[in-house]
Amino acid sequence: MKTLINSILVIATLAITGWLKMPFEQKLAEQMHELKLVPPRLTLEERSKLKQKAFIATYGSLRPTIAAFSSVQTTQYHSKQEWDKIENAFSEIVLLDPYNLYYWETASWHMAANAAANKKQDLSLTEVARKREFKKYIQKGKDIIEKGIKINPDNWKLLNLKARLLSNRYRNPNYHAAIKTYREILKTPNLSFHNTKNTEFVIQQCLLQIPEKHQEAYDNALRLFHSAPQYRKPTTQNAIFVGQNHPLNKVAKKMSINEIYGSPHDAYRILNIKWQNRKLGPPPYGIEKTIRLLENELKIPNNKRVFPTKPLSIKSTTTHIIAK
Amino acid sequence: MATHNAQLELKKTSFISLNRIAVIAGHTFTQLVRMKVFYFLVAFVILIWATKQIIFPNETGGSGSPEQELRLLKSTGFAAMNIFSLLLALASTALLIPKDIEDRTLYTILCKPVPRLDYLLGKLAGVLLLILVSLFVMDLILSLFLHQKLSGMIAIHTEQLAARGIPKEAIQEYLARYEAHGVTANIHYATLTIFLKAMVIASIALLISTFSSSTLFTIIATLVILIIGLIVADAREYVINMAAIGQESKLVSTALAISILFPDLQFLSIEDGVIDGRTVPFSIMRQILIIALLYVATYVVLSWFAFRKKEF
Repeated sequence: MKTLINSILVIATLAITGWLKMPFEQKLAEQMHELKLVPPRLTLEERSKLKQKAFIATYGSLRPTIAAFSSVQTTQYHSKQEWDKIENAFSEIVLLDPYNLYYWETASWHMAANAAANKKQDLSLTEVARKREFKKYIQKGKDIIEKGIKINPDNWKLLNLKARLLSNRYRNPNYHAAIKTYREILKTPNLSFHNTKNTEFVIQQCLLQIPEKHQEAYDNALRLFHSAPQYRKPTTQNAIFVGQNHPLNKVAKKMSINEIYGSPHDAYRILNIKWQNRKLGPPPYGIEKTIRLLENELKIPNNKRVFPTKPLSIKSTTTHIIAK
Repeated sequence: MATHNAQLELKKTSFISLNRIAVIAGHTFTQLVRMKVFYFLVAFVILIWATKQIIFPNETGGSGSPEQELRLLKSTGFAAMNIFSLLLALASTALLIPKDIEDRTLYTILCKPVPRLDYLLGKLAGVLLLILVSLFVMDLILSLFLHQKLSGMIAIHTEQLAARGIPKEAIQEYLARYEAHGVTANIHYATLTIFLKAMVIASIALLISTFSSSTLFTIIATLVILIIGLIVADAREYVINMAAIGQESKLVSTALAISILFPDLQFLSIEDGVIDGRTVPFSIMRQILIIALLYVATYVVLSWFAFRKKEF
């Protein structure tokens, strides 16, 4: 009887103190979630996915530990090219340690790079199936990053990861979406100048990949060029040069070679590289002509020229043809 | 002389005495130390040393792997601290009263003018002192290994990044990111919350042990409360969400009962945030400390209430 009364009194006290502490605890819990000091709560679906790990993981610090050791395990699946197992493992890992960029990056990389490339080369599949699987895994990689962004909306590095995948020329690029994503990064508060500069450059590179954005690419390059000396790099210099020679572009004032590149020597060096990589970007308007002019102006030896002068004598022409 | 006698009498019958508590705590601490519990520190050093050797693959070409290694070191350290302190809090507190009954020490103590509250507080303080000393040493070991790893990492990566032609500003940014995972006050805050968690668990075990006569039952019952304590935050949120839309059901009532009767142990786990390299504001620490101490105070008072007239 005494124990029963004691038990009732204990429970009653716990209930009263529990009732009093509830609003205070809820407020503290909200503050801690806001500061991301505790991991986000798992939904019922996520709990069932994690099975017994869900319970173990609830105890402080065990979540990232389990996630870390599980991610080390995935290297075995990688070496055996077991992509579905990697996908399953990482879907658990990112639930366990959702604020860790490393897992989002590795998971999307496995899907969009490794699995996609592997499927593309899988000769056991038909050509149509290979293409379909290739696209499917790239999409899986994108979906993983999207999920990561939802959980970490303030982490610009995930946006960068998404934009990099969207602008990867070997992964079904979507340059419009990539530009949009890169521009979102620029809105990040307190983004360092180094990161702002890099993002501006990749936006410029993406603009150059979209033929209909010729005017925007030119205007953007001009804006960057005049905004800071750090932006006077080959990407912007070439974009200005090609842009002002583009037949459809509206050009207020054409800049001279020296204004763009600083000197004819630098212009020749940079344009030379651009010419070697001409297939990677937009049509190289005006470059061939300028290189020819600079080669003459700078008196580049014939054997070092991009466009060597053709021999005029009949004899040497014949020799040239024979040599060919 | 009369005054002296009166003072002595007052001392004898005083409700609580720090001296008495300290003596009992010291005795309990010595008793537990003799059980060679500190041997686990060797295991802790080996574990941390082994984790320090792990190098994460930098497969994606990103810069995440050095941070990942620091995270792993911290998370393994905190996980080990959590497990050790949980086991110590649970096992040693559950053993306290039954062992004293078995050794008949309890009768010797209680037949003297030692109030039962002093006895309980002394016993609990002894266990907590043991956990505190253990956590302090583990914190030192973890900080030392973390500092070593970070220093080595900074030296190597500064050179590597500079060799890759990365501008100074970007190198500074990388290093700042690594340093956020180094030895900061946040590491010690996390250790403190592990201690607070152990305090709450130990006081729950003490409360249960005043009711039960079996050590095993005390351990199991405390573990059950611990498990429920980990879902209290979810239950509370569910109740609040349901109350907001005016929905009532048996599930809501159960969730309400859980969130009222059981301690919320989730907010005592800031380690995850610290592992992520986040800063723990002092105001949050203060609130955590207040709630944890309130829990301990409640459970100790209730333990005393159940124990005060218990017959052996």
